[in-house]
Amino acid sequence: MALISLTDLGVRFETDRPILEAIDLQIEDGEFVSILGPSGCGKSTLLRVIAGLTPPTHGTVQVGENTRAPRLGFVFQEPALLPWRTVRENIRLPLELDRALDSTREQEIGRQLQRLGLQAKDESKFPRMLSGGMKMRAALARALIVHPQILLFDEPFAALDELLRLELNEDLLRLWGEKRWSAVFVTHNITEAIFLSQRVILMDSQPGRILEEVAVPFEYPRPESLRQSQAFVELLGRVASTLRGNR
Amino acid sequence: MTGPRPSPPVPRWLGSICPPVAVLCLVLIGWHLAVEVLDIRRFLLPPPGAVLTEAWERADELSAATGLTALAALLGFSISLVLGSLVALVFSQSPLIRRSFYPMAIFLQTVPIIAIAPLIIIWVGEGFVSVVIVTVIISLFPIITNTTTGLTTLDANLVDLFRLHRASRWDTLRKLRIPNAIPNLITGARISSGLAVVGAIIGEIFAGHGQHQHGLGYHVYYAGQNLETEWQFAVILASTLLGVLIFAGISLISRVVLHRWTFNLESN
Repeated sequence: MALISLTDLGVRFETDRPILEAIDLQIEDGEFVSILGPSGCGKSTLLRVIAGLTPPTHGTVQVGENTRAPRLGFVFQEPALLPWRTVRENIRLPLELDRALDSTREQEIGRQLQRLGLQAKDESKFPRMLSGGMKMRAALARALIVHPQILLFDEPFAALDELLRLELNEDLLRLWGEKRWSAVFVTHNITEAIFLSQRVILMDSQPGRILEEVAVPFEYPRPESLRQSQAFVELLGRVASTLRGNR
Repeated sequence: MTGPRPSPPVPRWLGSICPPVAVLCLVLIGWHLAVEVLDIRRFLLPPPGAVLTEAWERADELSAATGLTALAALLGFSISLVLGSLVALVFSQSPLIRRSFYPMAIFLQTVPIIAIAPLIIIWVGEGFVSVVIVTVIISLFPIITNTTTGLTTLDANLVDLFRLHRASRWDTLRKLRIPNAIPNLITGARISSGLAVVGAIIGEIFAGHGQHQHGLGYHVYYAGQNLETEWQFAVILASTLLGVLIFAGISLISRVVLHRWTFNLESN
């Protein structure tokens, strides 16, 4: 049974025009899936439905394999760190809210930051003292500290420069390789979607619906050089033309 | 070959103090010259030297009056701070509550305090309590509006993060809404602190402090009635200094104690 299962899902806000329509999607435990599409195609709404933040207008959403809700992590487009808390205090927040804070988890915060390339001295800094990339690393650490079964990403690297985005993509895959949580990654960057995931869901807009599912055949770990390989570039071209053809 | 040595940098504090002091000196010199050259009569505009001499000679009276006004202003301000924050907390709980009670809060801002001060004296009587009530009425509104804004204007992502972790109403209030409102509360407090001094003086003009105790408001009123212009200027100077001191005190407290929020205060 799939870890995330959406059946005939539809979302319609106050206006008559549906945001999402007839979405059928299954995501397996440990799978890395990207959702790719133009702006306004409902990618973020789809992610919010999975997170339980937006209720569907019709259809069914099943998240988790049994009645117990799985642990979710969410990485927003903005780092969304509390500006009055230090980096360490920000990462501790989900544990406080989940009433899961103990000395073991407290010690884990430092290790988590290290795994994300932040140094011990950064722990006591306030978010305003960090660069854009470091803030996003802290946001990732905050999502990971709850030991999520499912991690949802809403275009987390869209505001970063290209080099930093590539670097964070590689870091993200390394982290995923260690724990193998299920990942749903929303993006409008084709290279990013293909490089990260096992499957890319292409979406069309007005209304938002699934256009095609593309299986990504590359083995993990994926080296940096994969992006220059002929197979990668060919797949990128095919995905781009599918999206462009439906404009 | 070496270029000319750069001159040693001016200390930052000196750089920030010098310009306003220089402007103040120029104003005082201009004031003095205007009085002398235009031969303005003293009961209309006394020269600055005469004002300072009057203040020095009646220093005991002036400091007692300033102390009394400061006490009323600080007490009124403190009550506004607590009451305003509590009202804002209630307002933040639901849009219906806000819509229902906000016009009442606006009433505080728009009511001409001079018109209702005599009413307060009829209800409460003359003296310290009336002065404090007038101070509270005039300084409450900025705290309520600013704090309500801080409690309700939240980053949508952060609200989602709290919802995602099924945070209780209490956790959301203490870990998100209240910390988010602190910079707004301080901005409101800064505005209110200045208004509190104004409120205390207006209150004193109407309500006084009793037969043997007189605040700055009483003095400024009776000095005007008796054409004691030098004394009136000295009292106005003391009122202004009191306002500046309270404002500076609030700013200092906000910087030292609340360093976590300094980024927002700077941007405000």
